[in-house]
Amino acid sequence: MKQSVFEEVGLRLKIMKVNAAFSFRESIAYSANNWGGLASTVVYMITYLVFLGAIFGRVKTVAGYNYSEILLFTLVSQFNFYLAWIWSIKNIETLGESVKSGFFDLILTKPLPTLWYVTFLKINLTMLLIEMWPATLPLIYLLVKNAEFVISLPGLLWGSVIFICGHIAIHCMQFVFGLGAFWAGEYKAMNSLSYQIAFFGDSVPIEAYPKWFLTLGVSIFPFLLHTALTTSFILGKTTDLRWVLWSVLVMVVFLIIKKKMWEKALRAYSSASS
Amino acid sequence: MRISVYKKCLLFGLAQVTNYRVDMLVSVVSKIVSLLGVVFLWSIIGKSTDNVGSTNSLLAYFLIANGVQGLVDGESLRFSKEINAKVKMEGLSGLLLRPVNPILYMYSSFWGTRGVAMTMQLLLIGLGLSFLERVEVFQIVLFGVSLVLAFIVAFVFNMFIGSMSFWTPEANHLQNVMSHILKVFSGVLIPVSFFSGLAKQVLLLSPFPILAYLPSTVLQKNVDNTEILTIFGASVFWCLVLLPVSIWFWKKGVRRYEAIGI
Repeated sequence: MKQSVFEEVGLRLKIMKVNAAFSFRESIAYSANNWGGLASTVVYMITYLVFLGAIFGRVKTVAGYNYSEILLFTLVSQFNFYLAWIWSIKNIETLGESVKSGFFDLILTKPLPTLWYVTFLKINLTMLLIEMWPATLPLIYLLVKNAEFVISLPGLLWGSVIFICGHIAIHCMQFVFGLGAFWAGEYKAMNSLSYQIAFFGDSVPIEAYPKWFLTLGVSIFPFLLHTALTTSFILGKTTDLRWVLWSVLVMVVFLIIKKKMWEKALRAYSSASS
Repeated sequence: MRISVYKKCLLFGLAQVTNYRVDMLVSVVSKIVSLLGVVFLWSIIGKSTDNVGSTNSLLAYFLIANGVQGLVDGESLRFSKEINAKVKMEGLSGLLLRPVNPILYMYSSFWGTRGVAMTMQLLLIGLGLSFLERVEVFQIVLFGVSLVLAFIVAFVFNMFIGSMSFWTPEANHLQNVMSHILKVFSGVLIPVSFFSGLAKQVLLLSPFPILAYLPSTVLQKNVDNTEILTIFGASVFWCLVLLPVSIWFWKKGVRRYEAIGI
């Protein structure tokens, strides 16, 4: 009997809830891992702030962004980074590993919506609590101390919409790259490449890019949406609302591509294993 | 006979990694993308200040710095990961029982798996050199010397972090911590010359700049430059001090490992 839409949605929410709960228990069980992760992220943040401090000790602005604006840019980029690690990147890695090891057979036998299941296999909320906030505190402190900008409500609202769309679009792009494991048998380099592309624009404001590169970064490889365009909107440097519509469109297209490529990958996997 | 063991080990490692050719090629593209990001950022910074130098010298600097750091395994400290995996999961007991030097054995195997990546790093260095207007023979010699020192310092860092696995199974996080520190303070992300005052003086005397900043700068500046001489002196000092200490640290760890194993 075919499930109703409500049942389908309910099942998907239940999968997310169960996976989040399991991931939480798992991360609590390996507490030393959390401390190690915290040390790593805090050191990263501090070294990055040293890097910014050294640059802005010599220059006043980078692509029209002063120190405080770049700090806000870094904050947005950090949110995107942590969110990606909380629910996206780890799952793409796990998918690649399961395809390589053959464990994916077991996943396929489960009576679940497989794409949804592998997308949200791990939702590491511990990272949000233990790593993201403590590591971001030095950045937030500097941001508050040096804030020289005004954020308008519409800017924040539209920036948030672009952030969500960009985040989902870049996840889909990384996921599609990760599907390479179904054909190549290996996934690490593909994941590494998609990671490099996804975080390519993490230090450079959108205003700095030449037009052809900008076109590339908001369409085929949408790495400029989640941080660069978002920050530009929040700061009021970009106000054209067509960008918001464009971001929604890019997200929808990438969601469709993800689904289509997933179906292709499953067909390739069946033929490989039979 | 013993050398042939390590040679075979190296070749086996190379054969292992070349099995996945597509993966290998994609990893090369990935490295190029990552490097383009750094160069692009610095070309933007270069537009805001005159202190950075010309685009060509900027390209040369970052290509060579990144190439050297990748070549000597001085950024991601991948060898320390190998040690960690051997200690944590399996393999070290078997190695300790064999009539081989376990460090040399693991190091040879590791360099085998790094064969393709090393070729890529050499190409980066070559490309970087092509952006330089003029390089004197003496500078090339000094570059060679700095490369040897960089290999030793990177090995030492790998040994320290890897040997920590004998005390904590979470040494991989330490490797991440060290990797972040090396990225910023070795000069691969930002030239050490960009720091000022006491921070710069401390950095010049630390073992970090030898991993990227010195090999890249020695090809661009006069060799009688005080900064270069300071880093050279400090690097020799660190090599002489840290190499024996890192081997002692490894041996101390192995004794502890044996105690647990029995």
